[in-house]
Amino acid sequence: MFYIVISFINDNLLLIFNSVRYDRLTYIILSIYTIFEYSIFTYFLYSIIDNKIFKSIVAISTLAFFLFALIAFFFSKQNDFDSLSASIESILIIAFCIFFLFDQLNKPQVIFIYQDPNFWFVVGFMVYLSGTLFLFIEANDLTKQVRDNFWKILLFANITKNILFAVAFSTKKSKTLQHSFEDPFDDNILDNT
Amino acid sequence: MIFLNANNPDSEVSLMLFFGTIGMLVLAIGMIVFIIFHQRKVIRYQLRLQKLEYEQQKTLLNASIRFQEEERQRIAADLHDDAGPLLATARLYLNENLVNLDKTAQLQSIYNAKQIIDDTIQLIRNISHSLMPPTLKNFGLESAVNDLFQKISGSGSLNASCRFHDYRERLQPDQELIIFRVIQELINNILKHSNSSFIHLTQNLSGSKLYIRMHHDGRGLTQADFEKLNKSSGGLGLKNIQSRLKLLQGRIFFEKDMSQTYYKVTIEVPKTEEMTLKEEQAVTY
Repeated sequence: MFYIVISFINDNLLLIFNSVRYDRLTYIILSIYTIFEYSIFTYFLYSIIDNKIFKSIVAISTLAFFLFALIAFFFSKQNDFDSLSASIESILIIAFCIFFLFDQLNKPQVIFIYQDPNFWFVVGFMVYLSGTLFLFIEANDLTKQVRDNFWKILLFANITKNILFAVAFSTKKSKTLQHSFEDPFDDNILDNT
Repeated sequence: MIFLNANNPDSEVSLMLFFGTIGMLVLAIGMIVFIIFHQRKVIRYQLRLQKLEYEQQKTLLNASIRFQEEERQRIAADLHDDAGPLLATARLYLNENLVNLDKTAQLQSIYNAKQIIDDTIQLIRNISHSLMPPTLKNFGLESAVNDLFQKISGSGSLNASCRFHDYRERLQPDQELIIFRVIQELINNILKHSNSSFIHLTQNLSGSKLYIRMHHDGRGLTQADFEKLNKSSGGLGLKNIQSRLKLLQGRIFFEKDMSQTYYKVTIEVPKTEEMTLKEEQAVTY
C-alpha cells in the first residue's frame, strides 16, 4: 500500500517537473524512485520465499545493485532518465519473480496459486517490469518526442500493475481446498446443540 | 503501429522497443499462464490421490467392522450353542428330584454334572484364549508364535517352524497382539488356501524396524494379487490384515521366492514408543 502511495506521488511529481522541463530534478526523483521501488519489490519477494539460497542471492544482488545505482547516480552524464539502473532493476526483479513462480511449483501446495494474494503481487511486478524493460533500456537513445510517444507503454503497464495489486488486495488466502468427496456421516446431531 | 509510423528517424530503435516490449509481455504472460495450468494439474492429481486413499481407508474400515461383527457372532454362537446346552444339561442333573433319588443315583448325577461343568469351564477357557492367548500376554510374541506353530505341527498335517533371531526386548502388548493376529490370519489363509507342506517363520530386527517373514511352498499371493483382492469387495481377512498393520504404521509384502518355489510374506513394523502407539489408536478410534 505504501509503495502504491509513493508510486502515485512519484508519477505526479514527474508530471509536474516534466511540464516545466526541469531535467536534473526529474533525474534525481527517478533515481531515488528506482532504488525505492527495487527495495520494496525485493523486500516483498525476500519475505515470501523461504529458500535460503535465494535469500542469499537476493542479499548479494541488492548490495551490488545499490552500489551500482549510487555510482550511476553520481557519475552518470545523463540528466534525464536513469536508464541503466532501471533496466538492471527490472531484470533482477523479473528473475526473482520467475524464481518465486517456479518455487511455487515445487512446493506441495493444497491451494491454487491464484488464491494466494502474493501471486497477484508477483504477477503485477512481472507484467509491469516486462512491459517497461525495453522502454527503460532504450530510454536514453530516444528523442524526447519519441519517448513521450512511447511513454504510454509505461502508463499502460502502471495501470495494469495497479489493477493486479487491487486483485491481490481483494484476494483472501484460503488455507486449504475443500474436500470434494462425500461426508460419510449424515447424523450431524452435534451441529444443532 | 502508431508508434512505428510516427517515428521515422528512430525507426530501428522504435521497432526494437515495440517488438521487445511485446515479446517480453508475451513471455511473462505465457509463463504465468503455464504456472497456473501446471499447478492446477498437479493439485487435481493430488486430490484424486487423496480421494483414492480415502476410499481405500473406507473399505478397510468397513472390512474391520465386518470382521469384528463376525468375530462377535462366532463368540455368541460358541456360547449359545456349546456353553448353553452344557449348562442346561448340568442343571437337569442337579434338579430338585435329586434329593429323592437313592445315594448311588445321587452320586452318579453329581459326577455327571461335575463332568459337564468341567467341560464348560474348558470351553469358556478356549473361547477366552482365542480372544487373548495367555502365552502372548504372559510370555510375549515369540512364545505365543512358538506355541501356535507347535500346535499346527502337532496336528501332523504340515510342518511348521519358527525362529526369532533378535527379539530380546518385547514390543508393547498392543503391538504384540496386533502382530500376532496378523500372523494368525496369514497362517489361517495358508492352511485354508495354499495346500502347502511347510510354513517357516523368521523374525529379524533392522534399525528401528521389526521384520517377520513367512515362507511356504503352496499356492500363494503376489503383491499384485494382494492389492487386487484388497480393492475388491472380497478378501475380508486381507483387508483386516491391512487395517491392523496400518494401526502400527506397518507394511506387508507378498512375493514369490527367487527360485519360484516358495511364496514369501514379509511384515515390516516400526518399533514405536508406547505414547506414539496410543496416539495412533486415539486417532483411529
